[in-house]
Amino acid sequence: MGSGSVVAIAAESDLPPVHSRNIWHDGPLCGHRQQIIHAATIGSLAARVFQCAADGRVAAVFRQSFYVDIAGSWICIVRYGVGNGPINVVLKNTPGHVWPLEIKVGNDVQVSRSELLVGEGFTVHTGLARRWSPPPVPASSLADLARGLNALAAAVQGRIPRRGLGSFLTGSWPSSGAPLEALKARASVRALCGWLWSGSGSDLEVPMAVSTLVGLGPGLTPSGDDFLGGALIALARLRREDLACRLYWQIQPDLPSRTGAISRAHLSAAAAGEGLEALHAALDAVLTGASGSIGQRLSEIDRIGHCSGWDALAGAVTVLRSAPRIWSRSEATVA
Amino acid sequence: MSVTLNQVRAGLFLDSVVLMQISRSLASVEGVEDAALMMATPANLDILSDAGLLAATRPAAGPGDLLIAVRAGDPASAEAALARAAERLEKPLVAAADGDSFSPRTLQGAARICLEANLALISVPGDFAGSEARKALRAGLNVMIFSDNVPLEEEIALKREARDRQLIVMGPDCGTAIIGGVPLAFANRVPRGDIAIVGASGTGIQEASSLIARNGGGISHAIGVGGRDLSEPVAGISTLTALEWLESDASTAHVVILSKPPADSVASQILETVASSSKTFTVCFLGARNVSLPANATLARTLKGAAADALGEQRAPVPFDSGQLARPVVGDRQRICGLFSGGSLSAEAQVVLIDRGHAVTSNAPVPGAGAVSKDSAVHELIDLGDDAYTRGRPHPMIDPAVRDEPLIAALADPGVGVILLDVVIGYGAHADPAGHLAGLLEAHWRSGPLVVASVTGTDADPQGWSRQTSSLTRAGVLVAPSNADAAALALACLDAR
Repeated sequence: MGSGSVVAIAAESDLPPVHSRNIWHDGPLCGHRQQIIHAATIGSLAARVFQCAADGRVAAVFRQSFYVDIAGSWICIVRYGVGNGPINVVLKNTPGHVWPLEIKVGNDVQVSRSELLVGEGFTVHTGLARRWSPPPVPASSLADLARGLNALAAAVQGRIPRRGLGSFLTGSWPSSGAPLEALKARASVRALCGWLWSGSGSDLEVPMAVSTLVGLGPGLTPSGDDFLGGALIALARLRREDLACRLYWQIQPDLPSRTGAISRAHLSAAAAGEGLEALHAALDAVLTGASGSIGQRLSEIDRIGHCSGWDALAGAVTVLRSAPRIWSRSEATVA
Repeated sequence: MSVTLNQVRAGLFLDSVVLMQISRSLASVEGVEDAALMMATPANLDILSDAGLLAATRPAAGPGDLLIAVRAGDPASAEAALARAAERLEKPLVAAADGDSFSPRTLQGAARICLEANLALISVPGDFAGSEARKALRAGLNVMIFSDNVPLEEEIALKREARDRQLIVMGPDCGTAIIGGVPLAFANRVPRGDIAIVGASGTGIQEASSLIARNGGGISHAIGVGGRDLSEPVAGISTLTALEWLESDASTAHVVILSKPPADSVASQILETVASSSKTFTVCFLGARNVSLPANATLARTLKGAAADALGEQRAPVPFDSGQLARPVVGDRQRICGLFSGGSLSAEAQVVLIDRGHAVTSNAPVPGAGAVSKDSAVHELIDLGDDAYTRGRPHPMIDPAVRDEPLIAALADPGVGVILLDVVIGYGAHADPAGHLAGLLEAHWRSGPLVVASVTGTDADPQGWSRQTSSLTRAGVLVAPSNADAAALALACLDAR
C-alpha cells in the first residue's frame, strides 16, 4: 500500500466518515444491553469502598469516566487507557465494550465485595482486579533532583497551557497578561514557598493565605486544588508526611464550603500521598533525575484534564524546589 | 453598556476539557466580550467578579455548582450565548463539532475528543508508522496500518503488544478492511451478511467480498491482517485474534480465510483454531495444494472458489462458460501478458493457468509459477502493485496510468496473444479506471492482442460495477464476471485459434 491520505478518501464517500462511527458497535464485538465488565485495576482507596456492601448513586458522568458517591466516599470508574489513580477503578479493555456507557447521573448503585451494580444494566466485577498503589519512593539524592528539575525546566518550554497554574513551573512569577487565577494565586504560592523554605521540621503554622488556593481557577477540579494536591503528594514522596499532614489540616476545614465534592475526594487521596499514576511517574522522573523520560512523562501529564495535570505538577515542583530545606540528608539517599 | 448574565447549573459536573470547549464556544458568539464556565467556588466568584463576569446580583451558587458567565455588548448577544451554552450542555458527551473545536494534530489528541473511536488508521511513511501505531495501541485503539515498509521486527513487536492489550493490529501494508459495514481504505461497498473474511490480501478481500455481494451474500466483517501475518516470524498473531473475535460474533456464520500459503507451523496453528471453532470455514491459501483441513472447513483454490463455497450451493455464482465469450487470437501469438493492480488477483490468475497445465512466470510467483525471465514463450503475470513498481509512485489502483507504459508495450508485442487485466474499483480507487483504460486502448490499440479483463467491485461502489464493465465492453475488452473467469477466458482465447 502506501502513505496516501486514506482517511480523506473514505470521508469523500457517501458513507459517514470512518472516524465518526464506533465501528465495533454493531459488529462482532458489540456490547449488549446488560453489560458486565471486569475491572483491570482498582486504586487503593477505591478498594476500601468495596470492603462492605453499601448503596450509593452515580454523581457525575463524563466522557471517559463516571463518579459514584457511596455514602460520602467517591470513586471513579474509568475506561481502559485513562490511567490508574487512588480512587479509580479502571475497566478492562473489553472488545465490544461500548463507551460512553448508558449511565446517567442519579442512577442507583450497589456495591458488594467484588461488584458494583449501576441501575439494572451495568455491572463492574472487581474480584480479579489488580490493586494499584503508587510505586515505592525511589532512591534519589539532591544531585539527582537538581538534574531532574533542570531537565524539567527545559522540557516544559512551550508546553504549559495558558490557563491554570502551570506557569509556576517556570520558576518565575506570573505577571500582567497571565490568567486571573495565576495572578490571584501568586500570594498563596509565595506563602506556601515561604513556609516550605522556613526549614525542615519547622513548627511554623501553615499560612492562612495558602487556603485561598482552594477552589481557585478553571476546571472540574479547580487549578488551585490540583496545585495543592500535587504539593501534598510531593511532600509524601520526600517522606515529609508530617508537613503534608499539616498542610492538609490547614486547608481541610474550608474544603466543603470552598470546593466541590470531586475535588475534595482527590485532595483527600493526595493527603494520603496518592495521586494519578501519571503524576507519580513524572514526579519520580524528576526526583531521580531521569531526564530522558521527562518528555514522555509530560505527555502523560498533558492528558490529565484540560490543565489539571500541569497544575498538579506545578504544585509538586514547588515542593521539590524546597527539598534542600525540607529533605534531610538521610532521607535524600534512602529509597 | 455591557450586559452580564449568569446562569447556575446546580450540581452539574463537566470535565475540564468540555468546560474549556464550551467557554471558547460562548466567547466566539458575535457581540460577546468574554465568557466562562467555572465551578462556582468562592475563589472563582472573585475571579469572575474581577473579570467583570459576575452579575450585579451575585448568583446563589455553591462550590459544587457550575456557573455560566457571559458579558456581551447587548442583551441579545448575551442571551444568544446562554442559549448556545444550553445547547452545548445538552450534549456534553459529544465532542464539539462546530467551528470552535480543534483539529487534532496527534493520535492522542484525536483519542481525547473522539472517545467512541476504537480504531486508528495509520497512513504515514513506513519509518514512522510503527511509532504512531504504538501510540494508538497505548491509547486503547485497535490499529490498521495502511503504510508499507514497516520493518518485520516492528510488526512483530506491535502485534504482540496489541495481543497483550486485547487489541488487533491490521497490517502493516493492510489496504482493505470492512468493519461492521464500514469500508476502510481500499474497500467495496457490500451489504451486511453472515460471511466474515480474514485476509492477508487486500485485493483478495475485495474480489471475494465483491463476488459474495454480487451473488446475493453479505459481509459481516472483513479483517485485513497484512501480507506477512501468516509468515513464521509473525506467527499469525492478528489472524488468530481475528478468528477469536469472530468466534464470539453472533452475526458471523461462516469465515473465509484468504492468504498466500502460510508457513507450515502457522498453518497448523490456524487450522487448530479453525477445528475448535463452532463456525464453518473456507480456507483459500492461494496456490497451496494438499492442505489437511478439519471437518468444518473446505479448501478453495481461487478467490472465486472461496466466494462460491462461502455462498453455498443455493447462491453460488452461475458457472462461466469461457468458450462462449472467447475469440480467437490473431496469428501465432502464444503468450498471455497479465498486468495486475492487485497482487492477489495476479496470484489467482496464476493458479488458474497452472491448474490448466500452463507454465507461468511472475514477479510475485505462487507455488508452481516461476520468476520472471526473458523466456518469451511463457505467460507472464505482473503485479504492478508490488513495492518495486510503487516506490515513490502511487498504487495503480489509485492512478491507473502506472499501467500505461507496460500496457502500451504489451499491445505492441508480437508475441502477446492476450493481455489480461484487472480493474479494481471501490473506495480509495481511481474515480474511473475503466474510462482511463478505454481511452488508452482507443489511442494505442489498433490490432494484435485481445484484451481480457474483469472488474472487482459492486454496483454500490462510487464507480459502479456495471458502468465500469460497460465502458470496457464498449472499448472492445472481453469482460469476464470474475478475475478467475478472466484468466480462464484468456486461455480459452488462445485455445480458440
